[in-house]
Amino acid sequence: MATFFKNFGKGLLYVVAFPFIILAIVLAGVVGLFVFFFQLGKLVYLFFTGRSINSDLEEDIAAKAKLQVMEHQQEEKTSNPQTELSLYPSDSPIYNTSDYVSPTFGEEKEVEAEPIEEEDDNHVI
Amino acid sequence: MLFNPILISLSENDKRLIFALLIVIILVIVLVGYLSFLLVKLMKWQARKADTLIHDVVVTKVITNKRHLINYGRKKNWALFFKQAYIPLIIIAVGVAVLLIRDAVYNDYSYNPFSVENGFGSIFWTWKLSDEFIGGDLIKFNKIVVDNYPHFVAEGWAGYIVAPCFLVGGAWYLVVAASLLARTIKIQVRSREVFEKSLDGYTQSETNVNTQVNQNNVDNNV
Repeated sequence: MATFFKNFGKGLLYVVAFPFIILAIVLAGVVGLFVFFFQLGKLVYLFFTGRSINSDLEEDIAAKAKLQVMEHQQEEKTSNPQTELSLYPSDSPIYNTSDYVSPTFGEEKEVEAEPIEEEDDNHVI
Repeated sequence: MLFNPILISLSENDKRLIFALLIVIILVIVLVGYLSFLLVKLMKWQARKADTLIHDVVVTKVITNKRHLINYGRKKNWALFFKQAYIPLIIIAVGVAVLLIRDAVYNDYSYNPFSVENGFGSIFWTWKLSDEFIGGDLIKFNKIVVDNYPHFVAEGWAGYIVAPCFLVGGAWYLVVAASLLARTIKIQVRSREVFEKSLDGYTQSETNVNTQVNQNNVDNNV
């Protein structure tokens, strides 16, 4: 019974709102006519400049490029899951400093041994 | 008292008429309600299309402010509207062209394509109020009689082409206009929501404590 009255109330609301909905749509239709002729003019202009109204906007091109990069990264992650285990994650607050130099393990150089100078015990390496 | 209910005695005809009127009113309310319900459904469906239009640029953070999103959304919305609207507008234009040609040929610029005598209305039943009255002593109405039975009129050929063009094209265009309106509203709403900064559940003191704990952990690790 409650559902019936709820639906009935909704129906009454729709009946009351109907003229306003129609008025809004008719106004949108009138505005739409101006929009249509504006778009028609734009279509003609774009046609004579060798472009189309369906061609992508600058934002679309940028978004597509970014999406491709994101998809590529996703594919790499799925094909090579070890890459996810990063030793020094870039978003870490500890290592995300500009003066941090990542260690290199490529070349090993021989250096002369020097005596280690003893320092204070409190010194942190 | 003049309108004391006890003094008012409804005749059988009055009761029938009231009953019939109630049914007609309920039917009209139900029909209008369903039509509004359908329109709202259509507008909600078209509003979801607006999300599709602006989704990629928002997710990839190509657009990072409200004004830019509204401008971008408007361009995409108008382009989609143009694609949707050109067919109904062409149908209406065909109707207008046929009407103008007919008027030029017959040299009659007052022709009504929906006319019952020589237009689209001639192929429908139509009714009118007669001078006779129906009802009881209290409630009376003019009797409704059939005005026109469906029949074809040769000189109404233009009406049979023009009126359907206007009706179909007009209804189609209104649906497209409703879609334009729905998408415009949705883009406005999204432009506010997407870049909204909320402080719900945020307390600065808690954040400071967490930051301090993290800093301590870092010091200990080093």
